[in-house]
Amino acid sequence: MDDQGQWLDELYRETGPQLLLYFRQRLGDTHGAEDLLQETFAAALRRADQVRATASARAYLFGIARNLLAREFRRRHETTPVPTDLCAEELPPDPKLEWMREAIGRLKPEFRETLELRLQHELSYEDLAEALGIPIGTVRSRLHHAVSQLRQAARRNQDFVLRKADR
Amino acid sequence: MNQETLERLIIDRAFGELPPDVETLLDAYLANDPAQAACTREISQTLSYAQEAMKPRQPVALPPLKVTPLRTPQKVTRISFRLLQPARMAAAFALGLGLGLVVWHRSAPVQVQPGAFASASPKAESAPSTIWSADRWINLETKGPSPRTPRLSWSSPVKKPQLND
Repeated sequence: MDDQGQWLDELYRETGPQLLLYFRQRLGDTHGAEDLLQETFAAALRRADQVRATASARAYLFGIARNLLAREFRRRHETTPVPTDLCAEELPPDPKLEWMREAIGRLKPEFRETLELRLQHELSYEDLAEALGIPIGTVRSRLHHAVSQLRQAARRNQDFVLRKADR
Repeated sequence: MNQETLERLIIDRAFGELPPDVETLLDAYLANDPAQAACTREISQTLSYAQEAMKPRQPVALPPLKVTPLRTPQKVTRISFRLLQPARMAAAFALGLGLGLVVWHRSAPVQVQPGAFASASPKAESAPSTIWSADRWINLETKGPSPRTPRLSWSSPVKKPQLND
């Protein structure tokens, strides 16, 4: 295998699982997710020089993945904006976490997307800025808003449990 | 430091995005303020809940990568211009020679035997020929007077030569 092939293979093993999860949770369709994963790496190969030159190949790939997902959703639904919701089927049912899932679902789509990429795929602020095509300041601001809203939801949830316990 | 700025710093630290020196200062600040320490716990707990809520049901099985880079094409060997020059000249000479021969053959006068066309096409004399027909030209050549060379008879240098048929 030549240098290019080896590089791509390493990148795939390193980033592939995260990207596949990203696609699967948003599409809810394993085959569609796998197709998009292959497309992402085909695009990465076409722009190999840019991917190699960028500070974070992972962030660059997430940027490609996000664009491919948006295109796929446009193709499927024509009017649906960039998907940000996680597919419920991909998440294990847990009554203790339902309130948090509801709270995450109530977040603004851009806050939710940024938070998910940070917590689930562990992209740094810099990577998030690269993947989402926004300044780092905006990343920070989105995350702060998201966490503040989730904290409020957590407080409400604890209150609810306490009131229930008092009866 | 106001509450909002402090909370922003705490969130950045929870995400691991705070520079180490700022983190040390923040820790020192929070150690003296139990209320803010509780805020820190609340934020980190919220984040761990959120992370837990986003965890996938099952680990993903990575399919094999179907994309493979194309092999880099072999370098095309080029013959140098110097080596090609004599070959080009020879080809040009051969072409010129060939063309010259063709032109020479075409421009050579054709010897037409008298009566050759007449015997070959008996209709030529009988059929009426139009102005554009080829027969007209054939007939013109074949019907014309037979080539007879005039002869001069010069019996004496003091007499005028006479033309004999």
